[in-house]
Amino acid sequence: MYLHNPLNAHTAVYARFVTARDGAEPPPCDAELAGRALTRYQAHALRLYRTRGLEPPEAAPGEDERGLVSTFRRFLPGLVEGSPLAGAVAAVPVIFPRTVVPDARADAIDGQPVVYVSGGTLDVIELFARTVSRCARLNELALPVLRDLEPDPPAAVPLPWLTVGADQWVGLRVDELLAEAPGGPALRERLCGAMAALAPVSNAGLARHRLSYCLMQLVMRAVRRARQGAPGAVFLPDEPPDGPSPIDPVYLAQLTLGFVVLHEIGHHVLGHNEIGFRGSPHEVALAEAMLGAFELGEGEEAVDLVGRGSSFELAADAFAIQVVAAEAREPVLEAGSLWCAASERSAVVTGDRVRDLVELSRQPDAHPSYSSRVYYLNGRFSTGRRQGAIAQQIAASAESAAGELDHAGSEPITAESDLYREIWAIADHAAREGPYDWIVWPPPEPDENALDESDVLVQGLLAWEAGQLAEAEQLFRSAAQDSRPEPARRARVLLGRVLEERGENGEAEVMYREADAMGDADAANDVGLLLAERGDLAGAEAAYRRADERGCAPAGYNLGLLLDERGDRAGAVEALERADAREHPQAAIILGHWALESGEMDRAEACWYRADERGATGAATNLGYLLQERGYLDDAEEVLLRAGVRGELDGLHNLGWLRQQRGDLDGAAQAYEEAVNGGREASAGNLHAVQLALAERDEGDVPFVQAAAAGDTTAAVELGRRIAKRGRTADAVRVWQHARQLGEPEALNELGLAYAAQGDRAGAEAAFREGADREHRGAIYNLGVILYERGDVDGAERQWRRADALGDGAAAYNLGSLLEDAGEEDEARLAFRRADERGDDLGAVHLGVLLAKSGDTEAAAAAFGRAEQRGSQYGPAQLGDLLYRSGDEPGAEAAWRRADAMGNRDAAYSLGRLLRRLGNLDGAETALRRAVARGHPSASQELARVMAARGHQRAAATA
Amino acid sequence: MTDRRVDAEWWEVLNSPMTEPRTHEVQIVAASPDEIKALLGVHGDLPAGGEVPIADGVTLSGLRLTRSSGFEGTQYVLEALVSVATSVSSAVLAAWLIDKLRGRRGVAASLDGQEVRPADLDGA
Repeated sequence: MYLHNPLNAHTAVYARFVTARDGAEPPPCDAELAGRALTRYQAHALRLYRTRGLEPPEAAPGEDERGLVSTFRRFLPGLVEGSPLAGAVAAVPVIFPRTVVPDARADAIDGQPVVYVSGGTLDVIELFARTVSRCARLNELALPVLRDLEPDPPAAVPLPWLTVGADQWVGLRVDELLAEAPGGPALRERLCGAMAALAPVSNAGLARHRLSYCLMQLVMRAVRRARQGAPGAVFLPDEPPDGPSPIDPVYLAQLTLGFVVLHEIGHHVLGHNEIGFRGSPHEVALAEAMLGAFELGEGEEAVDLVGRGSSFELAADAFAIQVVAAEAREPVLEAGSLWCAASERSAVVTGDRVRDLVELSRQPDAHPSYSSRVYYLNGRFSTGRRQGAIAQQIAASAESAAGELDHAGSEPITAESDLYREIWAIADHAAREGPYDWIVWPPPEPDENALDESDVLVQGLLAWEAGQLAEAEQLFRSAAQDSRPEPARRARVLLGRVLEERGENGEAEVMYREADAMGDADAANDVGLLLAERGDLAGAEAAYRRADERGCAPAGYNLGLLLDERGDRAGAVEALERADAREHPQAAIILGHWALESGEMDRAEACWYRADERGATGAATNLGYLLQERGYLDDAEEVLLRAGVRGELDGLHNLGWLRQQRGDLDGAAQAYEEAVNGGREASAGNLHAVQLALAERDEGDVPFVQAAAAGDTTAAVELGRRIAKRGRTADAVRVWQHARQLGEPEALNELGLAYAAQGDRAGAEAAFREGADREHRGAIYNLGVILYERGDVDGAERQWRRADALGDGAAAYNLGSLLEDAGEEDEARLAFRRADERGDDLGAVHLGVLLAKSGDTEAAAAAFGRAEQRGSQYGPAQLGDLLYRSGDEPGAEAAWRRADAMGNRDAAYSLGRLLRRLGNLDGAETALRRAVARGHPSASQELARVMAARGHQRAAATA
Repeated sequence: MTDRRVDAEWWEVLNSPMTEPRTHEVQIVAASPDEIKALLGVHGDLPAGGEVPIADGVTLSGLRLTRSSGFEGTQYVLEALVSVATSVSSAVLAAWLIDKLRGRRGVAASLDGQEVRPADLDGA
């Protein structure tokens, strides 16, 4: 697993930070200018304090002189060293007024630009940085456990972002914690409560992750309340975190402050503070062109989703990233993104990223939501290691992070800071590796023998379980005489079941009827079953209805089957839907079958998803079959694997068939074999057919072996590939080494790829370098990748330029990404175009994104189409986004559906949201369930809304 | 509802001795130029360095409007000198500003470096 942590301490930027931290005092500021600036700031503070109902300082504030400030004054020049705008940054004095309301501001005194960062902001930054550092340590320790709990762990994990937003493993509602404000053992149990079924290491991992989530939520709440002017909202932990952390808190605070200050300087440099400024002429023209590109209906307003031409805040954010030294870009981007995520909804615009952009369109100096800023930054700068899933996960985490706090309200709880400190102290223990004495184990499960044996009902149950029916009957008869209605009623039901087991149905019915008359739901259902058995369907129906009305799920199921038998399908569906809403597993299976019969694929899929979730036998087989039929092949394979684990032999057979269709003959043979061994003889024919195909494939190797032995290096390379495809990497490497000795450069590239896949970076680099020396295009490209991964961006760029000149599509794409990162958009576009022309799918996607940005939606759509033809799921996903932004919902839906079928989780999520809005709850549920299964961080919440809308409240509460 | 009664603070200002200088520095901070113009009752632009009459015998001059982008939103600062005709008490200017500030929670003002503020804000 690859850990993405740009805030690590092994970078050139961190070395500069250490030099600054340990350096001499910075030269003093111009005292006269600082004095005038602080006086001037008083005017700003006046309004900031008054609008929050606070008393402003009576005199001009002094300057904050904490260590964060003095280190920053030494660090800032290093952060922008080498940038063409380093001089412009140095020309702007940064003043730190000692005021409590968080504020950072670009201002001017007699035309001299100045930046203010208030003491309140410094407080929040320090709290944020210390907490993120502590949380990174907790999640670092938790990661192996979280990975093991995931059925399909991701290949790469952005470590700092595990702190932001909730996932399925958290199991904690911070709003409830704030409402109840437990302390001492109750708090510890809530945070570190263990599950008896899990090992200490697993419980420790989950608790660490939960602690991290909780601390970060409290920080987000503190930021929110501090900005509202709540006194005492910010509370710093007494001691800096001890123990190692993958993120140095002081360094993170410096990077964050750097982002904040450079953002404000960006406002100056970009001219945002000029009165009447609406953007540079180029930006205004671009924004107008983009807005004009849409044909708007009456009352509609165009949305500038890129924001580049219309949002000063987004532009200043981008400036802060672009102005720093190249090697500092990713750390500053990470710190700035995390900072924005932690600030999400601290200044509420609308609370919805897309709506914000709608409402803020044409208001360049309005503030978009912070999640928009994370989304924009990580889209804008998503290159290199950050591109793809990581950038998407970051943006989605920011978006979902603050929603949970909305339930908590803004009123402070008693001693909120004490709660934070208490959690911090627990986290202190958790941040150390074992022992796990801070985990709270549940009391031992009560033994069955520990039941209250004096209770006659319990004695009857024990006797029944031991097969002593006569004794059980006697005990239940005795309990039925109990003067308390509840035990008397239950005793009648149990007595009826014992009698029924003994074949005394008549007497059993009497008992059931008595309990039924006392209001027992199960008894009414039992009456119905007995009546149905002897053919009294009308009586059975009436009994089932009584039980159904009392909330008995099996009764709804039985009623549904009965009504269907009598030809009342509509009534049957209603009854089964009630049973389904009460989590009856088989009801969902039957509903799925009926939906499929009537061609309602979405409905069938949704039903079987629910049945599968409840562990109903056969559900995974049905669901896997349907997903395969609908083209969701990856999802189908995952579900069918689950069916196999549950021992569903038809599911195993279908898994074999799916793999066979996908060309995975080895996997198909394995599945069929398991089905046959499990007793499904009908799979033997398929197994035999696949075994024949495997033998044929192996025979196909023979000519390659013979040619390779005769010195044909091309055949040797191909033979290695054929072997490697079957997972025999070591054999393949031996074949390629043979070809290498014969001087085949293609073998060097294959060897490099094999070494890299095994984690042998040095071996891979040596092989690629040797191949590159022989001008092998692929090896040159891959050498660039290796250099990039170890941080040598210049070296990577040189190699990619070489490979690009030789006509390599992927190299052109990577080069384009670097150029885009450097702000050279025109050059980037040319590079993406070359990549596209050479058939590179990502080149086409990124070209499309740039074309869409510049307003050429037609060309953008065509580029996304080409990417799709080349098999990229991002092509139709981006096309869907583009069409949605332009108001073409049917077109967007169709494109998202195609991307969804290719396994794209964002498209599944967007599709689910759209369908929910359009009222198609079946479609929304299935799409969102696929998004959840693929790990989309916000899909669970959205699914919960759909389930709530369907009346599945319990499922909604746990989704 | 805006309370139009003369409150204690206004009364005190009205009755203060007329020893103040005839020109004052005023500073008004708001989220937009429109809010500043609404407070001053000015229509049209606020001309840089220019003059704007705002009440009988009271004129703003040397206008300077600056925009400041920030974490807590954009703020506009209008700085100007206020010339007061000899027939008008300077205290009237303060009282006039106080009255104008009533009900405007998003605007802050100071006169000669001292905050000017109504005794109570309606709607607060």
